[in-house]
Amino acid sequence: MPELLKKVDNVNLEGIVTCLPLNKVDNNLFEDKFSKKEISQIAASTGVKLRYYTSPQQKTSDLCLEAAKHLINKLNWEKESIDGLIFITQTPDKLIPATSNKLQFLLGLSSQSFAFDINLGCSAYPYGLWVASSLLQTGAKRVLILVGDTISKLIKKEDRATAFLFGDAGSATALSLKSDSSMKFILGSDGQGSENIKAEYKEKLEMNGSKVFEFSISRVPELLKQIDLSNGGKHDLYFFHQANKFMLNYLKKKCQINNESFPLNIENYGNTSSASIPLLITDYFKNKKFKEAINIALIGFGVGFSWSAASLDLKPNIFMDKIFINTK
Amino acid sequence: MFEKEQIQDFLTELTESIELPDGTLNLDTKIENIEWDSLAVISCIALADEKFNIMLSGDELAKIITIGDIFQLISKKQ
Repeated sequence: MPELLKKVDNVNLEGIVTCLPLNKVDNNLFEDKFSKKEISQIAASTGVKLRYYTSPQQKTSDLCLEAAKHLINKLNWEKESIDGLIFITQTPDKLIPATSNKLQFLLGLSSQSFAFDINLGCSAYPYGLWVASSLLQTGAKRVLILVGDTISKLIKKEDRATAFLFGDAGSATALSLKSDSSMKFILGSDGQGSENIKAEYKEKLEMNGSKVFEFSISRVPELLKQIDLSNGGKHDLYFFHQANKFMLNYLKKKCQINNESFPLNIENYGNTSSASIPLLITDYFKNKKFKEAINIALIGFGVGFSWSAASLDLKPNIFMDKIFINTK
Repeated sequence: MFEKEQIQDFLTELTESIELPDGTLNLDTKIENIEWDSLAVISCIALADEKFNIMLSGDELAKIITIGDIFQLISKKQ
């Protein structure tokens, strides 16, 4: 059965900023828990050489706040003109209340603007674009999507399935109502897989790597096929959630995508969960200018299980940047 | 049933993915004598999908005793 395609008109991607904590961690961190041979084997498979960790005091909101401030400033958006923000994370600052309320206040947005949290991980970014672009159809003109995670706080250093893999990152994305552009989405969920990546209350992250792999290689190729069909052909570039290198290389081969159309950056940042797609985009376009719109597909898949794809055009005047904040 | 070349090709690639010395694996190789960890299981799922278009599960692969059992699992699903 073909997956349900959702098309949203009149939405423009104005800018993306990603933010990393300035604490770069290499694989030597794990030398007290693993032998050198084990480290090199795990690193070869996950593909992660470096990742960035927040300090114990830093929260996901700190990363997203700095990204959003920079973005609002560079876009020259009046605070009062922003209709609302959506914060997407699996690592909110607190269990209660929603982190978005605090972010709305710290950004100085109007108390008339909406603010709410969504709990999604690997599939967060296309989902966020869909929710925000849909809100633009019902009265909002400018919406911020803040997406980020600090999974480093949920890692057991001795767990080979998760210890090496994850890094922290936050992002801010600005969408506005504009008549000449649209986005297409395919979204899905299968809760049968809900136990395969999880963190119980006050517990650390657990992951069943082989189940996640089975899910990804059986779901993602079809997702990609459908989003390409909706586009009337291949996209110029594919930004995949940076899950792990072995899986990404396998999916690239299975989906027959060439290297040039398939950016990878997991080596330098690890799997940054919900922030991996915006981080990959801003990283890829750093110091690259383009004159014509670039047709891109965004592919998110994992925890939930949940999956999402977005098809859109990046316009040459989009603002993109990647910033760092000090770890106090 | 499998062609001899299909089996050899699968074993060669599996040996390479799990970083064992060439020629280590044959159908009688016991799993307990090699490092049959989660990385090996995932490599095996990928190879079965790629070579035979068959989806093996991590649970099934956790129970095998010899490398030959992988081909038993694949042939049951063909």
